[in-house]
Amino acid sequence: MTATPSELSPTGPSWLDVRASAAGNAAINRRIDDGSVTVLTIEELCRSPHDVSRPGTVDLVTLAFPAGISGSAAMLVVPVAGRGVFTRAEEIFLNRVRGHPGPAPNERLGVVDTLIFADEPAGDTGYDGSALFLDLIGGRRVKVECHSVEETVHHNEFDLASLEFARFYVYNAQLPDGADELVILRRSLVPGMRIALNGSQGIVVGPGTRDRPGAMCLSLAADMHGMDATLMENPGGRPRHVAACALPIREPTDLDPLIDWARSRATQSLFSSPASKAAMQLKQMIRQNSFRLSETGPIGGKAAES
Amino acid sequence: MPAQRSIAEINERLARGEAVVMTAMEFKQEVRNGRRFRLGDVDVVTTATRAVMSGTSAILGIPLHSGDPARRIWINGLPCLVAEQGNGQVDVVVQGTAESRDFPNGYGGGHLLRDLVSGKTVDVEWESTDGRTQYRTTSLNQLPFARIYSFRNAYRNYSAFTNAHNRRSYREHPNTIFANRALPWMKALTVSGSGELNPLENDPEGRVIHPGTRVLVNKAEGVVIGSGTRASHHGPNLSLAADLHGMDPEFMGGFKTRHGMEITNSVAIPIPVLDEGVLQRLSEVLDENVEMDIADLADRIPFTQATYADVWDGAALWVDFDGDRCIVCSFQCPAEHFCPMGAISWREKRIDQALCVACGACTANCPGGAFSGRGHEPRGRIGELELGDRTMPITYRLSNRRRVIELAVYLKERLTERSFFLADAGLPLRLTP
Repeated sequence: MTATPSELSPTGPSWLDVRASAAGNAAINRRIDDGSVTVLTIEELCRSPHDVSRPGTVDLVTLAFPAGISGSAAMLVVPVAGRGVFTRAEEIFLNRVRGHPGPAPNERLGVVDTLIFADEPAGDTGYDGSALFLDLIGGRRVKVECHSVEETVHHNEFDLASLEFARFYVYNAQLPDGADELVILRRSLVPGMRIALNGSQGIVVGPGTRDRPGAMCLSLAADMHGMDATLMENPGGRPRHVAACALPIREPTDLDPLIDWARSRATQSLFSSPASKAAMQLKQMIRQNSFRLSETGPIGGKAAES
Repeated sequence: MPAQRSIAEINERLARGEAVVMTAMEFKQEVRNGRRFRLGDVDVVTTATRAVMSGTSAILGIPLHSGDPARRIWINGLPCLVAEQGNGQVDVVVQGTAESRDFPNGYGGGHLLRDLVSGKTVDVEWESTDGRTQYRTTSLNQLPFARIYSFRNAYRNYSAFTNAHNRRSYREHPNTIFANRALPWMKALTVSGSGELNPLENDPEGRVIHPGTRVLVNKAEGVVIGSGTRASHHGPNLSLAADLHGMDPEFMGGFKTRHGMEITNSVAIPIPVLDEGVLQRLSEVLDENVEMDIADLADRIPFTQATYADVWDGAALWVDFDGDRCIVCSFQCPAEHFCPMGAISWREKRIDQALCVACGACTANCPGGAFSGRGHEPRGRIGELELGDRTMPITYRLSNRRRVIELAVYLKERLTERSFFLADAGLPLRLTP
């Protein structure tokens, strides 16, 4: 992600490399605009691979990865009290889950920038940050308790719709086994790539905190407003998150490895109920022209692998 | 107005070596010379900002095989937030404004990030759930993950502040990040903002700066995640991310204030000239047209205005130390003590220019007049501006225009030598009214 000029070839990437990564997406975006784009979900692709093996038959394949909610956090601007009532927050709790005020001090603003981790427990109640996220996204009201540097205590209540800022940051979204061997995934899921996280549009920020050879993982971000709680609900377990992406198909040869992988190593993940739903939702967004591909040149001047 | 050119088109021109890339400095100079740009004359204009950016954090992945989970962690004495742990790694969040318990009011999150990027080893101390405390050292090249996540950075230009209401607290003990020294009534002005070179000043509505826009943070490639907290139409700002690996320590660091530790970052953003609207805005944004509100520090209500030409036109971008003028203040050099970057050594009679942000605090704090803006006589200030019949001394600049210029030039080089291309996810910035 951070190649310096000296590490790059003196001539840079060829025009063809750039055309493949940027103009390719632009061409698909034009087809999204004029309604001629062909989108399949990964399940549809796996059901009838022979129908799409001719060049130009399919532009995009949507697929979604459900993943454990550990490794995610929310940044919320929490309304606590009126302007000037206190200087800075020292401690803050949402439904008894500890949040972390800052890093911006918000002197005398009455609102607190609050980072909350999914894994943060609310004492020994069994409730935690992930349950808090689900409550917020489900439209339920949340109770705030804030202790200021002046040692005053303030209480308030709010719901997600009333927040001016609420963003979900996933820093460790694990992809199914074998994902890192697929060129199309590595080529497509680059920083700046548009995705849908729990149904809300956002971007790939970069590799995740636990990204390793053989264990591909991503970091993602999207606004919490507009997230779909039903994708996150996990009866009998902790909530999860579901990241959906649209892979641009440049060559018919992109398809076979994707189908093989989906059928052999990623079935449980990709064909699960929330994944199917999220992939279908993304397909609908594309067909309704409310989701487009990022237009992105090669990163660090290096052409994407091909 | 529909876009008339596309990111893909400009990337193709960059790849062919045909794109016309200008720094904001070059572009604005040509506008001042009378040139009227037309669509197609220029493909990309590089903009930048470098300033105190409170809303900065970093996530660090630290390999720790400690057995029991870590309950609390400190790095160089800085308290870290434990985000996730397991499989031999603990992911922690370090806040840019965090302060080290080992060096109160001397070492903060910004210092730690700069030390890591400089290749220094840092001390990790952790307390596990069984109550044991363990120690180890590490360095950036041993961290599998190290990324700045900012939640509120790269503001469009900011207000200037002074003690307009003659409040005693600001005259004697100013407890604010906008003061480096006592602020006598209307005789000391703190300014922020890189003026006409600022990215969001040139695109305040997010016409071309979007989530997914590729940027440089402290010289490393990064990405705009979206608008930052408190971003509004009047005061837009950004949430950014970039890996520490590849950053340049000279463009970042800790910043000591009268109200705790702060952090400085540098951000460069390419403005692709996609339509007439982008071009028009770039042409209109000149220092002499960019208004700067001047407000009282306590109530933050503007009482007058100046422009960024008043701040930067002819301003010294470097500060020099004339050792012959040092009066050796009983070995308690106020310039050294109050330097927010720790760049001054009175014993060696030198300023570490790799650290210096030319804020000018030393020019106001040195009783001997040993510090001055390069090319200027010592005068107890880094600049001044005229407000009616009053001359207001500028004693503190929280933006560093020298590094802004260097960064805009660097981004232009990266674009023209085909090691940086444009990216855009096309999502809108979310700005509150």
